[in-house]
Amino acid sequence: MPLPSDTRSGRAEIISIFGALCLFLSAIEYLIPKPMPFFRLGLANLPLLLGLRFLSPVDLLLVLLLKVLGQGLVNGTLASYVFLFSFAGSAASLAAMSLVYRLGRNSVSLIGVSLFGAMASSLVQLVLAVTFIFGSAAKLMAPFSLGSGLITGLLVGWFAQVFAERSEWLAAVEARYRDEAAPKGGGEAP
Amino acid sequence: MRHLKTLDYLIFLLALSAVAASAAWSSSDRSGEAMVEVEAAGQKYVLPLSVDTDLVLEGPVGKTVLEIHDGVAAVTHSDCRDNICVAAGGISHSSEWIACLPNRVFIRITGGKSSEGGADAVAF
Repeated sequence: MPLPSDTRSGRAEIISIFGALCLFLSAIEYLIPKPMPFFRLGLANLPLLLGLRFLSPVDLLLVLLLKVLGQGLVNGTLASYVFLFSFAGSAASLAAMSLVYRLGRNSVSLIGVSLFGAMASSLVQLVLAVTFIFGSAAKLMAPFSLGSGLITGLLVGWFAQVFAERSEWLAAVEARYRDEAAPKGGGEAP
Repeated sequence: MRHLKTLDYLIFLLALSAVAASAAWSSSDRSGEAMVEVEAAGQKYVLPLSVDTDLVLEGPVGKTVLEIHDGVAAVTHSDCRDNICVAAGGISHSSEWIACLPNRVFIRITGGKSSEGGADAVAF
C-alpha cells in the first residue's frame, strides 16, 4: 500500500490507516466462528501492537478509539454493554502493552508485549463480568477466558513480530511518521 | 526461537501462572455453603441449609410451611389443594427444588454438594 508522498498531514493519514486496519481486521475476525462467546483472536489488536513502536501515546489512543468504534460497528455491539467491555478490555490492553514495551525496551519482543496485553484485557473483562453481570458464576469461565487469551496473545504477537521485522510498508510508514514528528517534537529523537 | 527475549519468558510464565491461578480459583469453593432460596409472594429469602428453621410463607391461597431440619428442607404443610409440594418430600442437594404453584412458592437449593453421582429415582 503506497503512501502518497505529497500529503501534508501524514500523521492524520497514518492514524486513519491504522484505524481502518482495525476495522478491516475486526471484519475478518467476525468471519471466524467462535467456539465460545468470549473467545477472540484479537486480530484488531495488531495495528496497536505495530503502532506501539513509533506512534506517540496520544496517537495510540486515537487508534484505540477508532478500533473500539470499528469493532462496535462490525459486531453490532456499539450501543450495548458489550461495547463497554470491549472498550475497557482494549484500554487495559493498550495500557499494559505500552507499559511493558517502554519498561522493557530492549528485553521484550512484540510476542511478550502482545501476550501481556491479551492477559490484561482478559483479566479486566473477567473482573467486570464478575462484579457487574454474572456474579461469581463468571469465574467458571475464568480459566477458559485467560487460557484463550494466552494462546491468541502469543499467535497475534508472533505475527506482529515477524511482520514488523519484514514489512517494508511498515518501515516506510514509520519513517514518514518520524519525519513529520521530528521538527515539531523539538529534536527529541534519539 | 530467535525473536524471544528475556522479558518474553517472564511474561509467558506470568500468563501461565495467571491461567493456573484462575483454574484453581474457579474450581475452588464451587461447592460453598448450601443455601435455601425461597421465593414467595414476590419476596425472596435466602437461608442457610445448615441452620434449623421453620418458616411460614403467605401466598394467594394461604399458608405454606417450610421446615429446614438436619440439612433437609421440606414443605410440611400447605393450604393448597393438591399438596404436591408436601408430597415432594425433602430436598438437600444443590439445584433440587420444591414448588407450590397455587400458593406461588418456589424453594430451591443453591451451592453445596450436588446430587450428581448419587443414585437417582431411575437408577435406584
